[in-house]
Amino acid sequence: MTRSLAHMRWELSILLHNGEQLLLTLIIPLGLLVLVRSLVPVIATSVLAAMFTSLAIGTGFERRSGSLRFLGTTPLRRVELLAGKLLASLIILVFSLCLAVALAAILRCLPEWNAGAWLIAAVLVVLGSVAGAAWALFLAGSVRAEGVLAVANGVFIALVVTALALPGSLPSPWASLVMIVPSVALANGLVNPSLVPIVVLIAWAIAGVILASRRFTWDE
Amino acid sequence: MSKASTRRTPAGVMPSRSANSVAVPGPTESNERANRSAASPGNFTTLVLPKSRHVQIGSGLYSAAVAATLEVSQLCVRYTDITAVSGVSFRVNPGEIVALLGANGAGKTSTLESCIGLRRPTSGHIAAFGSDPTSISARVRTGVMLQTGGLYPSARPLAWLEYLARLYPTSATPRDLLEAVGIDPTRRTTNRRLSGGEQQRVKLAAALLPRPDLLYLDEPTAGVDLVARRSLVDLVRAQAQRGAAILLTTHLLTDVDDLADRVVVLDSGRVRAQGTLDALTGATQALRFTATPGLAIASLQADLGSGLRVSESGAGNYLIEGHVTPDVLATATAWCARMGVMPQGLTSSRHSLEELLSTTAAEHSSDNDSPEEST
Repeated sequence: MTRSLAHMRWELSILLHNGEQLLLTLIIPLGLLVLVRSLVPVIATSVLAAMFTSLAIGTGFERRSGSLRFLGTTPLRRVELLAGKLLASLIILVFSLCLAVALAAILRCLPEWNAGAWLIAAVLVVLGSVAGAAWALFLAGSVRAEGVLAVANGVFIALVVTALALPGSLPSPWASLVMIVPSVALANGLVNPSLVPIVVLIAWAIAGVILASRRFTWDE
Repeated sequence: MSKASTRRTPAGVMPSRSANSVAVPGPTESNERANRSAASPGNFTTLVLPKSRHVQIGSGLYSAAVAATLEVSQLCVRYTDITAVSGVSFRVNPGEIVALLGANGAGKTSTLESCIGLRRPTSGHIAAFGSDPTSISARVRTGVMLQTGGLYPSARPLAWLEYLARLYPTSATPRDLLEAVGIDPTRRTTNRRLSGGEQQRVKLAAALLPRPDLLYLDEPTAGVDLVARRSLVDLVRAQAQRGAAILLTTHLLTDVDDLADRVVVLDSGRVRAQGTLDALTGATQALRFTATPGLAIASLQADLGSGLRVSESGAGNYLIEGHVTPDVLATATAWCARMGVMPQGLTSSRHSLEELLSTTAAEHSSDNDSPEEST
């Protein structure tokens, strides 16, 4: 636990000193909120930014630099390293979401949710975070750093765009298909709470965890 | 303290380095001899402790099984289509510096990575402090300096070391360590902007952070300038003097000369020789001379017998390798007299480490079938 917390502190200090990561995890979601004046896609964007793209790129470059490999020779166990990383990303995500909610309140675009809706939103955010982090680690642990950079950014843009364009405007078969995209499932679950988005996110999370645990390697 | 000196540590009495210059496993004649002389009454500071032997320490009799800090037994590492390491065995005792030597592809990196726990061996056994080298109890006592990687690029050296220090139950002070390796701890330069030599020094500082009892050094002085190299060599030697077992891989034979108590020579994934430098380089001597090129060296070979090897390397440079005695010298000069040539620059010498490595590689280049016995 002590080592996980030490690693979490380290990850936070690295994140807070990295301008690109801050742009991705804080500035872009807030900028998007100003543009679209809707909190729902911004929540999905924040989850993707902090728990997928930022985590994947950071881990990918740590893997390339050999610092992950070196940490593998210290008493820091794999599970402690991952726990530290996830905790740091979660703290950034929570901070980002708090800022988004505050800004939404200022912009008067806060959704009129009751306590139950907020609870469901929290569950969806946690599931989306687990799925995003698992896929981030799978990507970062199995692809070269440049590939991680390209894929993580590409996927981020694609998922944000699909989350912004909710499937209601699509013809019926496509609307059903798009529902299995994690960002869409997250956004749709926030708007129309049901079991389907929860199941979709759980499925993505399970698949990601399985792939990451099988394919993640500490060095390129 | 000299390399052959003996120390006491909290863990017990350390073996004398010079007397421990034998191949593993098990004691040898020289080991036994050293024991007999060392275990005399009143002399309890100089001991050689072969595994599982009873030895006298002071006035008492103890079952002294001084465990090696690192013990590698029959290590095999296979990749999809090649065998990188095959049946490698060696041990590193407390206070001892052992160098893994060999050409590129000899199996050094695979052996080292297996010992560190970065690679899972295909078969064989590795024990650090008598247990799994990847266990937390072993990790907290182990320092590692990797050849590639080991620094967080965007962090400053002090911040990186302070973070690493929090991963160990006890550690040296990062500021002191940076000063010891010649890096100003207040410097705001990030690791990626340090020179290659400076990065090496920070990596060494990171490896020394847990005050390790087992230290792995992969090419520790690569890219380091001569002055800094001297201080790093002293720093590494000081770790052995306080009792750390050190496994070193390097291509710089000067490092081996300066640091290693014992050498393990790898070739094609197998141990071809191991022992002290003196034992390895002294076993084979050489007699060199220059004379008219193209002499019939077969007749000299016949005169000398099969224990020696005669060759002409380059035009007129003759080399006799083996146990060179005055009789050998007399035979060679008599042969020159018969040939009617005057040998020039006649010198006898021990093999250099470089020659030892080349000879070892050449001797075993066609041998891929069975592991050879260690010498």
